[in-house]
Amino acid sequence: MFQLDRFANPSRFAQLAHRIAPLCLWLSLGGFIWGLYLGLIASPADYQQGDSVRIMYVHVPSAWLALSSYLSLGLCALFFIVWRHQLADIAARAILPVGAGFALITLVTGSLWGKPIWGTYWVWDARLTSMLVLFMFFIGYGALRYSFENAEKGARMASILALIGCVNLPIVKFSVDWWNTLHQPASILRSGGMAIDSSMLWPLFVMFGAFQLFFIWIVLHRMLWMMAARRQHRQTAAYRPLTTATLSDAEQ
Amino acid sequence: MEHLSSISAFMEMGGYGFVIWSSYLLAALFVLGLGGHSLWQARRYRSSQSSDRQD
Repeated sequence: MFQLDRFANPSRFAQLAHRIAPLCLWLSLGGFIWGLYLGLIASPADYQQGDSVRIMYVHVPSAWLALSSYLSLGLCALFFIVWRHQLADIAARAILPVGAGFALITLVTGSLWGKPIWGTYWVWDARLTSMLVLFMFFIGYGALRYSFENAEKGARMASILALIGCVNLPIVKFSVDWWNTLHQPASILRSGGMAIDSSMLWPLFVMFGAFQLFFIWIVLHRMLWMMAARRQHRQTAAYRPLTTATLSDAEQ
Repeated sequence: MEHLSSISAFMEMGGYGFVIWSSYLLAALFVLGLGGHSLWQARRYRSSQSSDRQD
């Protein structure tokens, strides 16, 4: 907790973020190039699914990122509710479109993958439905966050919703074990070891690393300009009155 | 690499070309779109801050 308090100081956080963010961006770009080469060219086609297995290198990292983004959103919501720290609220707002985007990519790429393999774009199976619910929680958080005149109240209400939504995270992860689903069971994080060949595992990990670094960069970057917008608002508020709605618009 | 020995094979990807390329395109659009938007916003606030200082 001591460490968290240390970095909850906005100026110390900004100092650290300015140092880390560019490193993450360049490493992520390198990772994308390497991952695309491995995923599209170097890795073999699957003996059953053929080349369509290459969708996995986008679909699976996006799904992991959507889940970890929501977990981060939930943690920020918890910190905001308990300690009322503004940096946690800024972090939650920075994570929101990134997590929602990754959840949407997971749903769309899963759908595209489903057509050639299952013969349908969509089925109401437990994994797909729980992932759709996760996406809805992201949308719900955003809608609730900006639907109050009082920004502080909106942030509190949305944080409560984000915490409730965390219940869905284990459901998404274990849905393939708890119910009979059309979606395949876990191949990596499962008891009994990984059920995937290293020639496909490496591109998957490289792409995940690139996505993860991109996530860190974009969240830090968004947080930095949201903090700048907040500072700017405080300065201009001394000259002209602004409503909370105007502040929210300025921070979008 | 023999399964991807020609450009047309690369584009078709064994008949799955459309779904594969759409998935990668979607991810690329998202990464570039969100990244670009974030960079643009940061630049906007940086320039407005410097003009505030000049005022």
